[in-house]
Amino acid sequence: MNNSDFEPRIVVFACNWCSYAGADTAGVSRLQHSPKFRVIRTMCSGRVNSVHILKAFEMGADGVLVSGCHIGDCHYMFGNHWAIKQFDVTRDLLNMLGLEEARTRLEWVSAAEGPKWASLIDEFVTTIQQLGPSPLRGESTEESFGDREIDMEVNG
Amino acid sequence: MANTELKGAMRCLDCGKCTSACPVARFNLVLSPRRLIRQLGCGVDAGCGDALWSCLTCGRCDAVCPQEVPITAAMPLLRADVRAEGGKPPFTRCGAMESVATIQSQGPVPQNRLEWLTDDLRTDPESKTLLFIGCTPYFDKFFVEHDVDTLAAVKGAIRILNAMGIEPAVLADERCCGHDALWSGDEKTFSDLAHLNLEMFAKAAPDLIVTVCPECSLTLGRTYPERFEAPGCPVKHITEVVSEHYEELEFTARELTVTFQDPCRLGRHQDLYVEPREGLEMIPDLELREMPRNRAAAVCCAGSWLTCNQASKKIQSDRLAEAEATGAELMVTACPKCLIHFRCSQSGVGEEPGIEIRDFADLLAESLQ
Amino acid sequence: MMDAGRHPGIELHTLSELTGLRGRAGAFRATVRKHPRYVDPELCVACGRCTDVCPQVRPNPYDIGLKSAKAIDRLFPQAVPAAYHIDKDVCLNDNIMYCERCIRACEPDAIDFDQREETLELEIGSVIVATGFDELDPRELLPFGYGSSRNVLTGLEFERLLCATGPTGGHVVRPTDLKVPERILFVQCVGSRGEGGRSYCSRYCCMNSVKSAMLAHEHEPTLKGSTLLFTDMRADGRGYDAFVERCLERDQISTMRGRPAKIEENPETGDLSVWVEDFEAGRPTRIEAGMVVLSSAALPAGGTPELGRILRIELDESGFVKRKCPDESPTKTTRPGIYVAGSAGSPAIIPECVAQGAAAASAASTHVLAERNTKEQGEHVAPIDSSGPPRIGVFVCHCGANIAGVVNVQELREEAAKLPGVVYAGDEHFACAEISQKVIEEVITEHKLNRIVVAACTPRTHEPVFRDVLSRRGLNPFLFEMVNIRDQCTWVHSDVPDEAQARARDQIRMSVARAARLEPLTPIRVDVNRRVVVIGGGISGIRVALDLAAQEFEVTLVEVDEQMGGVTAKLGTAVGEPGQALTTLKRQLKRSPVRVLRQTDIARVDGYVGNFILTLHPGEEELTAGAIVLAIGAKPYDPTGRFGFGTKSNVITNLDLERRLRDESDVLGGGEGGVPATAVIIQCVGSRCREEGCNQGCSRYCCPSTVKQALKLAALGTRVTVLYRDMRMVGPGMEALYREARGAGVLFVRVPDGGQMTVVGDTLAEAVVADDMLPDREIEAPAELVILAVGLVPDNELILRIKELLKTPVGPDGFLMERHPELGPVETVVDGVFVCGTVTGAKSIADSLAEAGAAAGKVSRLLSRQALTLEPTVAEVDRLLCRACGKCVEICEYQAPSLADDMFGLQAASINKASCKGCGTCVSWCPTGAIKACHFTDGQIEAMMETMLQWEKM
Repeated sequence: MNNSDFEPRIVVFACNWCSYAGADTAGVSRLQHSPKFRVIRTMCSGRVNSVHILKAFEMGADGVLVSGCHIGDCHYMFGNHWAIKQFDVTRDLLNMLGLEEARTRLEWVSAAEGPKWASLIDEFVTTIQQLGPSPLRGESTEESFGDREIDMEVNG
Repeated sequence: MANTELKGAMRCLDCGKCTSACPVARFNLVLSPRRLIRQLGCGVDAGCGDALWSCLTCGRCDAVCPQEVPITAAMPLLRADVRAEGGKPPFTRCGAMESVATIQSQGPVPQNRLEWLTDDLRTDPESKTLLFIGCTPYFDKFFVEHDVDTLAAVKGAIRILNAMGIEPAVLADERCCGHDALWSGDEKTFSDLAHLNLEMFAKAAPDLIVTVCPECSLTLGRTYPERFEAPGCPVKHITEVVSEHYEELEFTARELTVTFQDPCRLGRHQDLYVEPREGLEMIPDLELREMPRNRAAAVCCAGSWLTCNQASKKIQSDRLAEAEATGAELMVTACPKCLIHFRCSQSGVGEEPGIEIRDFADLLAESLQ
Repeated sequence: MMDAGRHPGIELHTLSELTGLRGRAGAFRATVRKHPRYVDPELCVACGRCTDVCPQVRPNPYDIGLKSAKAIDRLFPQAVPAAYHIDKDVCLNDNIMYCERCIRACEPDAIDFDQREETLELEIGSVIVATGFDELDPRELLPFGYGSSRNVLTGLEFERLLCATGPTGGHVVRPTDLKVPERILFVQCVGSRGEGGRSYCSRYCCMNSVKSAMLAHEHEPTLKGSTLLFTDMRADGRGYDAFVERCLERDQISTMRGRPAKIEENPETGDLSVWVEDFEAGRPTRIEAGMVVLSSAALPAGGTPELGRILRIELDESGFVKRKCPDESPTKTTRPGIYVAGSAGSPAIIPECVAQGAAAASAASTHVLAERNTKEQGEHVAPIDSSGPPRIGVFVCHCGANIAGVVNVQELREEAAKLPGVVYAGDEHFACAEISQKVIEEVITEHKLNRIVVAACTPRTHEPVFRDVLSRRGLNPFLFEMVNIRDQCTWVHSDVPDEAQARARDQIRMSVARAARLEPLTPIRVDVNRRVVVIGGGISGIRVALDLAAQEFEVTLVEVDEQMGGVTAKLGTAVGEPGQALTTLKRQLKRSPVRVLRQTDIARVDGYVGNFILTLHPGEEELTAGAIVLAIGAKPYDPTGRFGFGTKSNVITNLDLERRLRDESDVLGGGEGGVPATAVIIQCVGSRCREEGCNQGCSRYCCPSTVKQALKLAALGTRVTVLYRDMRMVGPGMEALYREARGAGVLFVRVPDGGQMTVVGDTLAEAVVADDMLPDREIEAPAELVILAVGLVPDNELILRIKELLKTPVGPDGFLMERHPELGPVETVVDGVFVCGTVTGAKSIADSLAEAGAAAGKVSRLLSRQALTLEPTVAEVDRLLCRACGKCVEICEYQAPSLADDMFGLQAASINKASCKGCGTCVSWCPTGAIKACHFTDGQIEAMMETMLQWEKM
C-alpha cells in the first residue's frame, strides 16, 4: 500500500471536562502537534457508544480515538468505566470485521496534561499513517449494485 | 409518495382480522396492519412511520388474512420508500448491528470471524456442503452482557454434520445474508451483501448450503433467487437436514420435557413446522409439550431491531410464561434471534431467570451418541 | 478560580490591598488601594503577543525563579483574570527609555501606561481573611545548605518541577546539570515543629512529600530511589494512610525516621551528603542523594501583622490570625464580622481550607442577608421562534493575529457562507469584544438568524459569553455552537498553516452541520422549599442547624438518640474546651427556633433537590425540605477482646477514662477512689487497621485527646506512658500541648508499625510489653490502669440504611462518600443532600465544625433562591420506545432514571431532569434507543462525523 500521499481521516472524541480541556491546555502552551485529526466534543466519554465508532469506520474513518478523564477523576463518577465497556465490545466487533486493533484507542488525558495530549495525537496519527487507509473504507470504484427495480409486484 | 404499487392490497376487505391477530397491536396502539394496508391505497404517508417500524413482519396477519393480502411482504418495500425520503428507523442499540452489516457490504472486508473454531469441530474448506453461519460470531461479541451464545447452534450443527460423516466448509469471507437490511428497507446494503455472497457461492460451488438461522435460509433460499439469482444449490435449514437424515443419526435417551418455539422465519415464512419437531423427537424419552399457540399460531420473539419497547417486552414475557406453563424444562428454538431476544428479556432488571432456552442444533448435538 | 471570576455576585479586585476598615459588622467601610495593572482586563484577549515582543526578562515568581517571565506576562495559564500584567519595576518604558513594543503588538489596544493607583471605598457587611501562608525561605537554616547548594530545593519548588506546565515540563532534573538524580531525599519539618522557634506543625508537607515522591517516580523511570526523612507521618486525612501505604509499596520509595543536622554538597558533582542518625546503631550516618527537597515550614503570609492592625484582630503566638473559639466556631476571629479561612488562621490541608472557606462565607453572609442573590437576575426579552428551517449565521474570529496570523479567515468565511443552511457569514476582529457582540446581535435580527456558529477560541471559556449574546436577542442560547479554531488549531498547528486551514475549515463545516440539528432547550426550573432537615444531633449537626437558623431558614434537627451531642458528649467533657463548647452550643440550640426531634428516625425519603419529603419514624409525620444535611457521625470502636478489654477490669477505653476524670475522685474505678500510680495509654486501637470493624485510616481526635488526658493524669501524680505509632498533633496549639506533655514527664514511646503490644497480668493488667523501635528489643511499661484510645469507625448499619434511603454512595472505607474530597467536601452526588462531620471519615472537632459551617453555606446558597434553574442539557426518555429493562437505572450514579407504570400497566423509565447531570452514559447504553441526550443527540454527533468524512464517499 502506498502511504506517501495518504491523508488519514481521524475522529477524536474528547470529553468536555478533562480531555477537551487538556487539548486547550496544549494550545495555551503552544504545543505543536499533528493537525491530521478532527475533534468532536461530548460531555463524557461515557456518551461515546459502539455505534459512533462503527459509523465512523463505516463512513470511511481511518482511526478513532476516544479520550476521557482518568479513572477516578470522571466528572460524573463512573462514566469512563462505562466507556471502557462500550469500547471493548466495539473493538471486538471491529477486530472481527478485520480492522487492526491500533486504529481504535481509548485514552485518558486530564485537563492539565497538554503535553500528553500533544504526544498522544502525534503518536496516534503516526500509527494510522503507517497503517494506511482503513480496510473498511467503502470503495467508491466498486461496481454498483444499486440500480434495480424495487417496484416489483408482490402478489399473493 | 409511494413508489410501491401493492396490487394485492386492493383485495383487503377491511375485516380487521389481521389486527386482531397481530401480537404487536395488542400492546402498541400505533400499529394496525389493516390501517397500514388501507393507507397504502392512498399512498403511504410519513404519518404511518411509527407503525411501519413497529411491525415485526412475523407473518401472523398473513396467516389469518381471508383475502391473502401480502401484508408482511409489503413491509420492506414500504420501508424502503420511507428511507428513500430520509426516514430512519428507531433502531435498537442505536443501529450497531446494522452498521456491522453495512461495513461488510462495502467491499472486501478481511474478517476474523472464525476464531471460535476448535479442532474437535471438523471442517473442510473444500467441502461441497457449505455451512452458512450468518452473524452468530458478531452476535456473541455484541450481546456479551446477555451471554447469548448463538455460536452454540453453529457448533451443534457442525457436530451433527460430522456425525453424518460430513465435514462442512465454513468460510471466512461469508457476509451477513442481508436479511435485516432488506426488512428494514435498506435496499442498497441488502443488494451489496447479496452480490458479495453470491460471488462467494459461485467460487465455492457447493452442492448444499446449510444454515442454522432461518433468516439466512429464507434470504438465501428464497429472496436471492427472487431478486437476483439462486445460489446454485439447495439451501436448507439445519432442522430440515436433521429430519431428512434421521437414519444416520443416533441419540442417547434423555428424560427431558421440552417445548418448541416456532421462529416466524422458519414456520410461517418457510412452512417448516414438522421438521424441528421430528428432529426433537429423535431423542429417545424426550417429551415435547406444545404451547397453546403453536405452529402457524405461534407468537414471535418480538425482536425486529427496528422498534423495541414495552409491547416487545410484554410479548416476550407472555410467551415465556406460556412456555413455562407447559411444565417443560426447556424451551427449544431454532433461530439465534429468538435466543437473543428471549435471553435479553430474561436479563432485565428485576426479572427472574425463568425457563432455560436452548437452540435446536445445540440440544441435538449434545444428545448425539 | 474560573467560577469565581465569572460569578455575577463576585467582584474581583486583584493587585489590591486593604488599607483601612471602619464601622462595624454589617456596615463596614473598607478602603482598598488598587495598584495599576497597565492592561485593561476588559480588552485583553490573553493572546500573549505582548509577552513575545517584550525584551525584559525577569524570574517568574510563580515558577519560583526556575523559569523566566517577561516584564509583561501572565504568571501561569490558569490565572484569573486571564489578562496580562506589567511589572513596572522591570519594564523599560518610563523607567529607562521609550520602548512600547507591547503597545504596538497589542491589537485590542488593551495596554494603558496611564493607569494610576486608585483608592476604592467599599461598603461591605463582613470581611473574610484568606491570605494563606508563605513558604519559609530555608536560607535561614544554614545547615540544610539551601541557597548555597543548588540541588537543594524546597517542596514548592519541587512541585513546580513535577508540573507538566512547569519550567521543565514535568521532568525531575537537577538544577546543576539538568540530569535526573539517582536518589532524592525529602526532609520533613524544615523550620516546623520546634525549628527556628516555630512550635507548630506546618500540616501540608507530609502528604505533599509522599505525593511528590510518587509522582517523581512516575515521571522519571530512571530515578532509582527516594527516601523520606520524617518525625511523625501525619497522614491524618481520609484515605491518606492508604495512600502512604500504596506509595511505600513501591520498592524505590522508603522512609526513615529522623531529622538531619547537616547537608553537605560535593562541589564537583553537586551531589549531597545528608547526616542523620542511624537509629539501630545510634550513630550518625551519611546518606548520599542527588537532590534534597526540604519541606519548608508554612509561615503566616507576609503582611499579616499589618492586616491584623488594620482589621483590629488578634494574631496567635505564631503570628497567624487567631481563631477565637476553634471548638465552637472555627472561622470566627476576635472581632465580630471578620472571619478567617484556611492557612491564614493556621496551616491547613486543602479539604479543610475548602470547608473553612465555605463556612466563613456562610457566617459572613449572616451580615448581609438582605443583599442575598440580588446579583443573579437578568432582564426578559421576547423570544425568537426558531422552529423553521435553519438560518445559520457563522462568525469567524481573527482573535487579532492569533487566528488570522495563521489561517486565512476570509477564505474560511467565504467557504462557510456556502455551507447548507448558512444565510450569513462574517468575520470579526475580536468576536468576544463588546462591539462585536453588538454586531452579532444586530445580524441576528437583520438576517432572522435562528442558529449561530462562532469559530474562535474554546467553548470552555467563551460559550457562556456567546450564549448570553443570543439570550439578549431572545434567541434560545442552546442554538449556539462554538468552533475552537484558536486553542486547538492555530495555536497548535501554526507550523503547518495549510493544514491548520484545512482543520479549521473542517471543524467549521462539522459545527455548521451540528448547528442545523440543534434544538432549543428550556432551562429547567425547580421550585425550592426553604425548609431544611438536619439528620444527627452531634456537635456538627447542632452547629449546622444553628447556622441555618441564623440565616432565617426553617430547620428541623432529627436525632435518633435520647441525648444530643453524639461522640463529643462522651469525650470532650473533662479536659479542654470541646465539652464547654458543646454545652454552649446546646444552650444556643434551646434558645434558637430550630425544631428538635429526639428519638426520631427517618423511615423514607422521596423527592429531589429543592423538594424532598421525609417520613419520620415513629409517628409517620412527613417533613418537606429543600435540602437535607447528614450529620450522623461515626461511632467509637468496640475493643472487646483486644488487650484484655472486657476481661481485665483495669483495661478501659479513653471514653471511660474521660467519665472518670470528670470528678477525679475515682480514676482507678471500683468505687474506692484513688488515682493510679502508673498508667499506659495505647494509641490507634481500632484505627489505621484493615481488620473488620476498624477505621482503615486515622481517627484524628485521639492524639490530641490522649495528650490532654495524659497531662491531666500527670497532674494528678500518675506516671503515664503513651504507646504510639505517630503523634498527629495538628491544629492550633496542639504541637505546643504535645511539648508541654513531654515536659510534664509523660513518657511517649513509639512502637514500630506492625509491632506487638501485649497486656500482661493474670486477672488484672499489670504492665504492657511492647516492641521497641530497635529490633529484637521490648520495653515494659508498668500499668495500674491501661487505657485504650479507641478509634472512630463508621456506623455501618446506619450508613447502609442512609445509603438505601438517599442513594448516597459509600466509600471503600465504610464512610459516606463526599462529592469530591477537595472540590466538594460537604456535598454528595445527590443534589440537595449535604454531609458534614465524621460521617465522611473521622476528623477533629474543629474540622467537623468547619464542615458544618460549610454545609450551612452550601444549603443557604441553594435555598436562598426562589427557584433553581438547571441546565437543560439532560437525558430524555421516549416512553414509546422504552422497554423498562432498567439499564439506565443501573448506570446512573445520580438516581435520575426510575421505572414507573404507565396507564396501560406497562412499565417505562422516566428521567428526573433535576437530578440528571447530562453525561449521556445511559443514552449510550439504552438498548432500545429510547433515551435522547439533549444537545448531544446521536443525530448531531453523526452529522458531524458525516460532514467530516463525506468527501471519502464522493
